[in-house]
Amino acid sequence: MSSSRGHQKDHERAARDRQWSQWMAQAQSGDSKAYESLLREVLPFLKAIISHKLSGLPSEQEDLVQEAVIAIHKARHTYQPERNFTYWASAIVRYKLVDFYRRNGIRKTVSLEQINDFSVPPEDPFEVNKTEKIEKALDLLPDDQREAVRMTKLQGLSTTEAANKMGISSGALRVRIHRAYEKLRQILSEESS
Amino acid sequence: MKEELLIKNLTSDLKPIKPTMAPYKRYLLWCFCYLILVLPLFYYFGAFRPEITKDLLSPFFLLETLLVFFCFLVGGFVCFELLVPGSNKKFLTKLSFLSAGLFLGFALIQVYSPVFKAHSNMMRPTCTFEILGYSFVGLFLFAFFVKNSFPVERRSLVALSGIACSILPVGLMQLGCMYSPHHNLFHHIFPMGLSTLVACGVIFFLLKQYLPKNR
Repeated sequence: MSSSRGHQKDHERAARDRQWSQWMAQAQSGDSKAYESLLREVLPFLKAIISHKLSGLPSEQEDLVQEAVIAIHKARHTYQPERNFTYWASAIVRYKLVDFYRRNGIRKTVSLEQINDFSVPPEDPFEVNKTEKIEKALDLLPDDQREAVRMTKLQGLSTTEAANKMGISSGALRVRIHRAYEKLRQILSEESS
Repeated sequence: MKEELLIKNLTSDLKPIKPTMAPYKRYLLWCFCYLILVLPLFYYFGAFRPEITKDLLSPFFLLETLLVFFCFLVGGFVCFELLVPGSNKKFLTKLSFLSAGLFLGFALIQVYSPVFKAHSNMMRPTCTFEILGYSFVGLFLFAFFVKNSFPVERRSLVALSGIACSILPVGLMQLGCMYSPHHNLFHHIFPMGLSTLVACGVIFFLLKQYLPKNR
């Protein structure tokens, strides 16, 4: 029963990929309607991958989705219609994610295996959104730690700005954020086990 | 709302674009041009050394020679795959690095335990310059293909393309220059290392030049 369901999912994914490939080929020859259909369908797929990898950072997710779409647009001449579109798009998203991690210096918190997962797309990227879980875990943090994470990661304030607002030193803020991450990791791993 | 605007911006006034040539076709073109330019020069400066067929009967020497050409052929193929996203050639990438590493390892081992007696038959006075020059030809041709690419695994691409451009001349000297492990190390492999470094630097620079506009 489950294997036939899995088989059906594979079939659906392959059909979806064929459709996307076809649209991209048409887009390469200048068909804007096909391109629009493609972008409308691919957007939730990209969002799902990015929100899975950057759960808890909604503003960064939005920016990164847009960056990924623009990158896909700029790289569309490199797509070969006989190839798998999902792999091609996923590789660009992975590049954008790695670039984001590098820019923001948060490479240490994400394992390479996790990043490399994109060489093979996740089971079903539409079902991997874990933002809610992160939100719930954030609620379980002590007030000062939650505030530190919200200010620096959700509201996008710099460490100095957030520290000034909270009336503490930057060093103390970093310690709070570090402790908050430790706690979040613990809560999430307990939940998943 | 932002997404709507983005989609509208990207799709309005969409112009047809010419897709880049398939990676395997670009690779074949590169190989063909490289060999067409280099082989006549190789023949001009002395071709194969006498009794090379006899030397190739030695399994160790044969394996070493095969590793060089394998690294050139497979590594070159992977480089062109890495120029576009989503190629997923991790296994072949590792295999190419492994073959290059094994070749270097074997070359070092031969210094202490040569396969056969060192000789100076077919000593090519130009071998070092040939290696540097042929590598430059490979690099020059490869640089043509970097422009319309969108590599997402830049480190592997830079390292592997540096090796792929420089290893073919060493393979040719393996068959065309005298057999002496010391000579091989100092006059073939060291220049190859130098040309690999230069090629890596040039490709890195080219990627930096082209890609910011590209992404």
